[in-house]
Amino acid sequence: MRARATTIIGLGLIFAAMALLLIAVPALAEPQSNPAEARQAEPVRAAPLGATVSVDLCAKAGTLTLPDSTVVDTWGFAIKPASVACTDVSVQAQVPGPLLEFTAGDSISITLHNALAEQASIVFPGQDLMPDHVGAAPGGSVAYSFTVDEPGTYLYESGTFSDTTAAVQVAMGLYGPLVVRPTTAGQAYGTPASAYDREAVLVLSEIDPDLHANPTTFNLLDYSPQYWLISGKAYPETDPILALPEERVLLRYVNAGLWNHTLTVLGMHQTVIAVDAYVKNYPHEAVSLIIPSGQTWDSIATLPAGAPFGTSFPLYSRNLFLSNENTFPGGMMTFITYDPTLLPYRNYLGLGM
Amino acid sequence: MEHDRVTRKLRRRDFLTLAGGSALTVLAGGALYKTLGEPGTSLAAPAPAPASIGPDVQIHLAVTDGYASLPGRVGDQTLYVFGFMEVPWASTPQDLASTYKGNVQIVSPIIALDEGQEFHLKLSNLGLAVRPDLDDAHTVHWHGFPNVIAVFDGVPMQSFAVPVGKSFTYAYVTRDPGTFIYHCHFEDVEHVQMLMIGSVYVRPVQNEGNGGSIPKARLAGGASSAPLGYTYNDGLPPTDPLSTAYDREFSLLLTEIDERPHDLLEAVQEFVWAYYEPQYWTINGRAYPDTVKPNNDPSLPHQPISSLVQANAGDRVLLRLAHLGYQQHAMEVVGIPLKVVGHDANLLRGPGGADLSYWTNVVYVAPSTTRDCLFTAPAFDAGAPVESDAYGDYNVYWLQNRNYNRQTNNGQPGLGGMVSEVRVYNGGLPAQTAGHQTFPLLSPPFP
Amino acid sequence: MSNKGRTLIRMGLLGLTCGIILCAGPASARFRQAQVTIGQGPSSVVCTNGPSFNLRATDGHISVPDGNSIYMWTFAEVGGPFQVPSPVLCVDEGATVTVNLTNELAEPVSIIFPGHVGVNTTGGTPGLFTAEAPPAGSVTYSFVASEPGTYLYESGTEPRKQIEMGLHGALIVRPSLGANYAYNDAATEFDPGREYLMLLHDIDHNLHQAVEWGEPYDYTTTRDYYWTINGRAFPDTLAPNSVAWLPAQPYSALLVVEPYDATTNPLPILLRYLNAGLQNHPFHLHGNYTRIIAQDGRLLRGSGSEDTSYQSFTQTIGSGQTYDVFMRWTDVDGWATQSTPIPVDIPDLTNLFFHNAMTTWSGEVPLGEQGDVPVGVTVHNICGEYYLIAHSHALNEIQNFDEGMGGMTTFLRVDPPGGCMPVP
Ligand SMILES: [Cu+2]
Ligand SMILES: [Cu+2]
Ligand SMILES: [Cu+2]
Repeated sequence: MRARATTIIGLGLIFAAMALLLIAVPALAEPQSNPAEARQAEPVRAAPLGATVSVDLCAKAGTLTLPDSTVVDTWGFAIKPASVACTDVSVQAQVPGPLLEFTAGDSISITLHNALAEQASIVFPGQDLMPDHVGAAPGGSVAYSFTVDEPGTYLYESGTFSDTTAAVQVAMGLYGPLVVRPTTAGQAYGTPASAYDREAVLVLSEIDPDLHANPTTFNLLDYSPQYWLISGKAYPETDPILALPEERVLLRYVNAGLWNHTLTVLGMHQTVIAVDAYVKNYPHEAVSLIIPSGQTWDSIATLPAGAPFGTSFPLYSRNLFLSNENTFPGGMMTFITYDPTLLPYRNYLGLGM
Repeated sequence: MEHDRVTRKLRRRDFLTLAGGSALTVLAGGALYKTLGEPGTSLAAPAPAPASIGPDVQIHLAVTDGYASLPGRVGDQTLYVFGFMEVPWASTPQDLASTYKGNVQIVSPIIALDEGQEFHLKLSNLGLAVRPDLDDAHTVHWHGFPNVIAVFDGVPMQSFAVPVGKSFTYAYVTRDPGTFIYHCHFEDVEHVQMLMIGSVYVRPVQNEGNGGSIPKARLAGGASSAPLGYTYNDGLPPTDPLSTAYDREFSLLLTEIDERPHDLLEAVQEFVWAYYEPQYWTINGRAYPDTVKPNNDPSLPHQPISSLVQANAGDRVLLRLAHLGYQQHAMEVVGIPLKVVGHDANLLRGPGGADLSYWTNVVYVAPSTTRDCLFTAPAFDAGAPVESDAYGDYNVYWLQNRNYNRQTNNGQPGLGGMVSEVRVYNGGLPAQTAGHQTFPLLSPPFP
Repeated sequence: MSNKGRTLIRMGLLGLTCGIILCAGPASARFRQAQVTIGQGPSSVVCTNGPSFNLRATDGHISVPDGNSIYMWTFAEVGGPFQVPSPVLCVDEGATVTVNLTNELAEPVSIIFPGHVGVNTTGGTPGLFTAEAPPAGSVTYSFVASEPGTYLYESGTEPRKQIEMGLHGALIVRPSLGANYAYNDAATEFDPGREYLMLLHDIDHNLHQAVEWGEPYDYTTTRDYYWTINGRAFPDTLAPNSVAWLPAQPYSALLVVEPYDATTNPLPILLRYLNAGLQNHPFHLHGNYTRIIAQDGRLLRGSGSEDTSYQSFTQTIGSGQTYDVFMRWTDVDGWATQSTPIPVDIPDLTNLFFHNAMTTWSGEVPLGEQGDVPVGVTVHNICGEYYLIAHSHALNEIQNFDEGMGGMTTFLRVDPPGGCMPVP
């Protein structure tokens, strides 16, 4: 059913919740991250189960700074605080867009406010609503209402293409991850096989600076990425994934890039439990995963027992896009790191769900 | 000719008599004419063909050159191509040259067969109108055909090829249902890129039904309430969640086109294939917006096979995705998840019966693989953007390659490439009576 | 558009290469006559047995069929010759594998073992992925080969450069059930004489030349020009293991099968695919489906031990992936026998095109019979065997730079029942 939500809860509260969600995964990156603090971040569930959750998003221009200090212009999504215009400098476009996190059964109302100079829209592959390829005119807005019935890892992205320019909106940065949690805490899909202790959302994409410099005149035949990103960052700025031995780390891969990517983890196998948020009948173990453009994969990597403190397990593009422009090391690479400063709390990021 | 292998084959005369036998076999291109009838007689069933003796199905493909049209090409938009086209069985290359030479269709005809048939495919090499100096031989390679013997595999080094002015007949017994492809294997990097490519599939014997819970498919003469067909011998009634039954069937053959080898060949020069870097991405040899024109659209006289998917809300649709380009593609129907039930002509079921089919939004399609994808057309949504044609209102869902850098025609502004539409009608679309029908039904422009 | 010229041929090396290969006969059409050596010798996997290995990172050149040679790095055995790919390391399940690596190159190198747990390092210097051997130094890796299967081992040091340069190889862990099983499952028994390595790689020789000459290389403009199976490009892939004219490329890629028979030939052949290259490769085997039984060293089984293996006619081997696949060829129609002729006529052979330099059709339809082909056609068959091609179906990859066909291509040979004995 295509529910049209009407109940709107306080935008300020939602904004606070979203902001906390946004830092949830990067928080793992902080070696000093204190689980107790993380637990204080728990009231992300601002609304009761099955409630209506409203989010206001801006689409606007921004910039992205890469590890070699190259700055590219972007178009990105941002959370719009109540009573603040998208054009306000305090609203910063993000690449990827903010992590939208919901609970299965929620009714979602998302309003996109378009602060770009061209038409913009959002499509939500895998969600139960008619895809919108029209969207809002510059300065306008468009609302999307749907119910998130199925837990999992999803992509949201621009659905707009123009008659006069190339299909560049997604490449410019108009994409983001969307996670729907089951009502059972600590599980990706409400099944024991999907139980995890830690999680990381890994949004894969590429940057061709020429496209970002000239989005309205760019020739797609010239698309030639020079930077390869995980969640908007290239190594060495990528966020490490911190965990303890024997913990199950849920890796939520979201390929928002224009290219297909093959990702590898060293030191362990990963068990693939879902693709495009569809639970696999028979999970399989693999080292290297082909993740096509637009697809999401959920795998669980279990850190081996007995690993010494500080052990790092590389997670990287096996197509070996491991440079920033021509400088190694860089690119689509991070590490799952046994961080002895972590206390063995299980699944602290997902508690309270 | 040998006719004594009847006992080793699954004979299906009743189906052939009812459905027209080999007349049904080539679904697009020349034989659309035979299958679908003249304009205005749109839904008339094809006339029954006499039950054959000897081979169940005979198809004669002629090889020659010609021109295709690509949006975004400079000048008159035409591109030099090679291809296969269907011609009358009994004719010789010499008979055919005056009508067909230089007048090829791309992509090659869709060949639909039934499980258990003995299929004879005669290949005639007419030579090239534009490059008469280039006396390339050709072959047919049925890609994926299991347990093939060397002389029917169409690899020149491993048997032989067919020189200009000559013919050779390949023979196959269709023991395995599923979606395959065919292409020339002579200097294949060149001839495949020149678009000597086509879809061939084998429909399962389950289309005959089991007299009980599995009704005879409409393709086999079943009742109007029955599915058009079954993708595989799944052994399940159409109501079963794991059934591979479908109401509509579409064949989508992907490829990319690098115009440079085409232009160089036309200009008597050679291309270095390591530099392959296409400018066009096509479905059934058409790039968007040509993709959404129906079969046999008069504006595309040499590209008769549509890439448009049409269905009524609630219809179960089979997409036979196949790929004979050289890149890897991420295909999706935005807003409609796909259930992949077959890989490479194999039902996704483990040896012990494990269900290996899967749902997905994006289907990864690598060169020379085929994927059988089912979906149920969503409810018609009058509140969403609506378009309309002679069959009433419909919603549009984009069928596209998610590699957005490939959504272009030669780098020109605007949407192009491997993009088409799934149009979901509010019940007004006629039923398909054969695979890959698009509406309106049009007759082919030639010969 | 990258438009790098071919600058690889250097006269000294060309002369050497020519002496071995090119000058053996006139280059005919697209094939070097003397180079086409099909089978007639072992082509199945050659194990270097462990569990202790002494490897050295070193350099040398390989030959590709268009006459070029390519500078490569590899892990060679200490005391053994430079070889590409690096040796196939074979160990038994449960063994403690020890690899002592010494570095003869001028920059640090290392080895990673994807899919293996708890690799301990001794000596060396810290690196990004693992401990490295500095130039002229050494490092030791050890781990327990706890799970059977097919694995890559490869450089963990600047992998974009070093893996492409050739610092990679295959590691086979044999199950405790027995060496003629792929895994600890009775259903994974294969024909022990028919176990084949299919190690795929893609090469931009411009990188190799830049490394050899100490010049810069721009990784963002890379383009592949050569594609190999087991370090050889077609048609070198067809030659047996360890032929004298490919001194640095000892591993054949020729596949051999005999018709399935429930009594006399019930077991499948085993192909161990590994992709050390940077691109995913859609590999297509003519002749029959293959059954994919395992990926990345893990048998395809559900949690309730359901058999989740599957069949395909093209298997896309992703970068860094391994697949174990079973293959059979069955004479289902009887057309490979004398008793059941094919239902169509073969025309007078003068009305057909033959590949003059290299035809691998015996001239007869049934398996095991040698017939005649037109004068001037060089036939490579000796026992009426069939040949069926196997290749990457990204067809731009079945080239040797600007010459075809070549690259990531090999043959499947279907022998008559009982094997290939020359027909008098
Ligand atoms: Cu041809
Ligand atoms: Cu093929
Ligand atoms: Cu082939």
